[in-house]
Amino acid sequence: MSDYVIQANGLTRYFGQKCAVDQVSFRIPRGCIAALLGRNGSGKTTLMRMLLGMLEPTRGSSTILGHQSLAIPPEARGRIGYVAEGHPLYPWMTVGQLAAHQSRFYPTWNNTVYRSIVDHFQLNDSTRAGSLSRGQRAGVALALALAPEPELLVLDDPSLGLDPVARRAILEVIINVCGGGDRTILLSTHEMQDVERIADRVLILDQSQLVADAEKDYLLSHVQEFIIDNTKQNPDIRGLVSTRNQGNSLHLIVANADEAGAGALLAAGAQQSDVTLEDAVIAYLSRRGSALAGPAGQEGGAA
Amino acid sequence: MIGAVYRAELRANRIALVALPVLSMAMYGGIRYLRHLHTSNAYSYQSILDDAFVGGVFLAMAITALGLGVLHIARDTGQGAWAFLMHRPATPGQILLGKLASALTIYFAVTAPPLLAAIFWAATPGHLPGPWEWGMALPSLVDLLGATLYIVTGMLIVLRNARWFGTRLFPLLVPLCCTIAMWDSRFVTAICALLIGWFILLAVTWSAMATRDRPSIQRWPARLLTSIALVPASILVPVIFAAIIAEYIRPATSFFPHQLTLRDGQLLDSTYDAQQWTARIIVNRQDQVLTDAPVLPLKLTEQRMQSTMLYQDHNAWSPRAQAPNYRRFGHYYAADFGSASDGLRSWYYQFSKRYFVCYLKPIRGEAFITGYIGQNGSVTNKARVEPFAQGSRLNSSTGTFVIEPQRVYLPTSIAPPSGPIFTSPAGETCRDASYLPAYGAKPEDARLNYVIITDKALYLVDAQRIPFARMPHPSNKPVVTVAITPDPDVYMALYQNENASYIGGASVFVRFRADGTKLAQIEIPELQPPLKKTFGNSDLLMMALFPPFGPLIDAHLPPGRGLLVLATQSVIAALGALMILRRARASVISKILWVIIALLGGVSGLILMAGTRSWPLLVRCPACGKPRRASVLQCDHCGANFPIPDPGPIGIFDTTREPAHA
Amino acid sequence: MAFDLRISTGSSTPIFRQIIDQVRLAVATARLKEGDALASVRALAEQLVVNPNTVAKAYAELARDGVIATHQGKGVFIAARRPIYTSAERLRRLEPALDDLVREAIALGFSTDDVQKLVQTHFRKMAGRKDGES
Repeated sequence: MSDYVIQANGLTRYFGQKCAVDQVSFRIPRGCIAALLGRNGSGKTTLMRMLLGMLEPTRGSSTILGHQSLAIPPEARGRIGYVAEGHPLYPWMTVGQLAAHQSRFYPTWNNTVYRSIVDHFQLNDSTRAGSLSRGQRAGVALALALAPEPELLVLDDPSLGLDPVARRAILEVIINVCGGGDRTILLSTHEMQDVERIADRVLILDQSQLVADAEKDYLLSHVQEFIIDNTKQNPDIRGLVSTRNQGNSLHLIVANADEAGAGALLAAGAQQSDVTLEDAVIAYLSRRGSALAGPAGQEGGAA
Repeated sequence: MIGAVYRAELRANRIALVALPVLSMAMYGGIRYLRHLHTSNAYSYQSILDDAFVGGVFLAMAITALGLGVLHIARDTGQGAWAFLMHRPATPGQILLGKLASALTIYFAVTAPPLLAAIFWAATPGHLPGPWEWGMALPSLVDLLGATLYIVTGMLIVLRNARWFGTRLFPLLVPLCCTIAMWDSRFVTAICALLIGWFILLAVTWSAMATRDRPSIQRWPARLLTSIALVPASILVPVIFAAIIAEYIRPATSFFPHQLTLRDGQLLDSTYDAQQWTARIIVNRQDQVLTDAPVLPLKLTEQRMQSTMLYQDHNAWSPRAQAPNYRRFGHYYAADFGSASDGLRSWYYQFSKRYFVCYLKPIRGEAFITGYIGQNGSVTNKARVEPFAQGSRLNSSTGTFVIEPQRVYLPTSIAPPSGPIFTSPAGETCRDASYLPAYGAKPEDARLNYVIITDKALYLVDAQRIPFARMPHPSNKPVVTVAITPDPDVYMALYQNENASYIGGASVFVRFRADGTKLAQIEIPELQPPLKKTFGNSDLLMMALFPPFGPLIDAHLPPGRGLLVLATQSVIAALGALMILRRARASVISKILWVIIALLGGVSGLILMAGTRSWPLLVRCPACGKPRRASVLQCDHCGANFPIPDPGPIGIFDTTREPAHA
Repeated sequence: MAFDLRISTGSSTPIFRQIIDQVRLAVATARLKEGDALASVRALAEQLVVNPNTVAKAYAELARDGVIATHQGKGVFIAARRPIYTSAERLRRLEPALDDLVREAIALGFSTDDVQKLVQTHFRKMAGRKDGES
């Protein structure tokens, strides 16, 4: 039980008739940095809000640090750092006041951590949060979440709208503060480089459904690219994620290609190559728009 | 932790302190204006006790409180801001308490100083033309506390997940009811209303805060209290709208449709002119003239003013609650026939088409106005007792009140033991009302006409013409009620109603000249058959909303037709409830319960149901195509589970996927 | 010590593989010698801005291959070179690279001699060793 910091079991949420999160089940082990990927509106924020008990699921359940999400006791909340989308802060408070305010709630508040992060972002204690830049606000929000030294950190798109420097600073802080320990992080992001650098696990939400949940390297080793001549008849490929025309060649991204499938492709004259994480994720997230989406989807449904 | 929230909220909302100078200036202006307004009036109001002033101050305080409540929650309602507020090691209750403490602090900081200043101003000699007792400040202080209810209400309004802003305002009915309950009541009642209001609102707000107002995850006491807070408004709002529409549809009726005044044999509509003396002669069914008595020649404004005066003299705790003071003024009471300008009450009368008919009830020898009589003769509303002393005047030079002596005679059997015993002009042993010696009045001074009812007989007193007359009750039943009304319809209704007592078959109205000779007489031609009443739109509405009570409230329908309407609409409501419950998949007991409620409560039952149940979200079943509950894995119709989304061969999972179960 | 690890994102080579490759190359080219200290997992993670788990994974593989040794409490050091693979295994590991090289050479029209010369030059440049030694 305690091996898994977050467990989601069939989490489902409807907004009106629209299903925002569709029976998502996953587990995140302790000490893992998990990245939640997906397009805008794929349900990442909804999923996180449900995990933290900010939103009740239509169906299904989840536990976080061993507590039901809808009944997280205050003590457990103190062990979870959460930065919601858009880095919310009290705009009327200064950076210093925010720390003083938050520290009254957390018995484990570590002001050294707060100071070091705030310094990392070169912030002044007397600046009002409302007049901070987006990147600085992200820094303060992160500092507030990290200063109580939480066991679990949930970051909802921490790099949204940040410049490369601020983005890098956020990564550095995360690695600096959380690295090495058994601190667990769940973050959603659109930045593939960040995922590549810090994530252990990757979860891909596509149109409210979970399509991948694996160690990053496991995921990478199970996605291959085949390049074939596009003048030929499109073969019926099992596990085809997406196709892309490039000149005369057709690039096929194939997941879980087994010996037979890969063999058939190679026999048809295809060239095999490895893919980058970014390619793989983009292939997943854009697959509905591709030309072969229909057959691939049908085949997937039948299997 | 509460302290941290408190300090943060105080800092965030300190802008609200600008209300302090605004309220202070408004209050100063109000005092100045009212003083200016009343200086020419002999019966000058004391502005701090003036109804308009007190009401205006309360309104300002309530609006301030409501705004503070809204302000304290509104900035945190954004998704991210809400997460920042709630995701911390503190319970929602602690956060709410911190916010409440901050709102209360600001509220008292902006409202208390001007109010206290006004009270001290009033207490300083030379400012008000009357005596001052500190107790007079009590109502204002109670108002100050009472308006705090609007803080919680403001918070609740913002916290609620209502789709329309109008329905968000539903919780406002709770503090409004408390305010009404506190307005005209004794101190203890007011405090009780305040506490009950706080309890309900605090519980509902706390629950809304903890669950972000999602009934589906609230416990049942919270849901019950929420529906207590919201359902009355959800019923009342459509009723008011329907009533307004019904009033437009209905042909206009005059306010006093059946007032009867005789002048030279002609029926006139001018009963309530203080200068008119309309006498009524009461005749029994054998056409024997029993007695007659003049209707009280009162101008209502005068009467009300005098009761205010008496209050001032006798220092009741509230200027609006004269009722507790009656003992101080002896044992006579003038019926308050109501006044068209009397706000809520006149609205009530217009709406319910009832007459301003009072009936008096003897309670330990004292005449009380205990209710109003409806068209059908039923008692419809408890009325407040207005003590009345004719001729009391304020001596503005000394600031004291002069009460002109008046007289009421009471038989010794029912009079309080204090007054002197004497013989009435009719030869009966009477005891004078106790106030008279206190004011140095003598029995001979009595000039006033009054109705005195005992449990045995009805006394009509006219010191001028028919000094004392005793009228035995024709049925030999104990008299419990008497109508003082110029309305023949009411007389007839009383006459025909088994339960209502009546005045003894009054059927002839006579007007006398000043010298006592008969001027004109009108006879009410027949007492049978029963009055024909029309069934109006508002009656239909009443029946639709409150099936079991509708006929009691206004039984204008013949019994058979009324029952038919009742049965039809109850069945429709019950069928509606069944249809809804089929969807909701409630337990059998819950279904039966709701159908009974819908049967009894009609439309209001359905509204109650809609308010208390949490409605299941229905989605199309992928297996059978029928709408099914999204919250349950298994389909209600075909039993199929929602399919677990399977990305098929493209899914990459390094863990074994467990099947989702609800 | 001028040993500087650089990683690049957006490559099809995973980061931990990049670390392994670079350390092995440095050892092979004698830029790292036996007993040289490497940055700790944490320090390297912070330096490269990558997940410490990734660095740890790379170090674990390097340690398994005998390239580095971890002394508890002291840090990570380059281990003494020792053959841990059989010659058959070494050959098998070289095979794919040879395939690539020869395929490209044929495609571009190099002769065997050209390739041999080039290999020797590169050997000198990278490993500082003469051909034929092993």
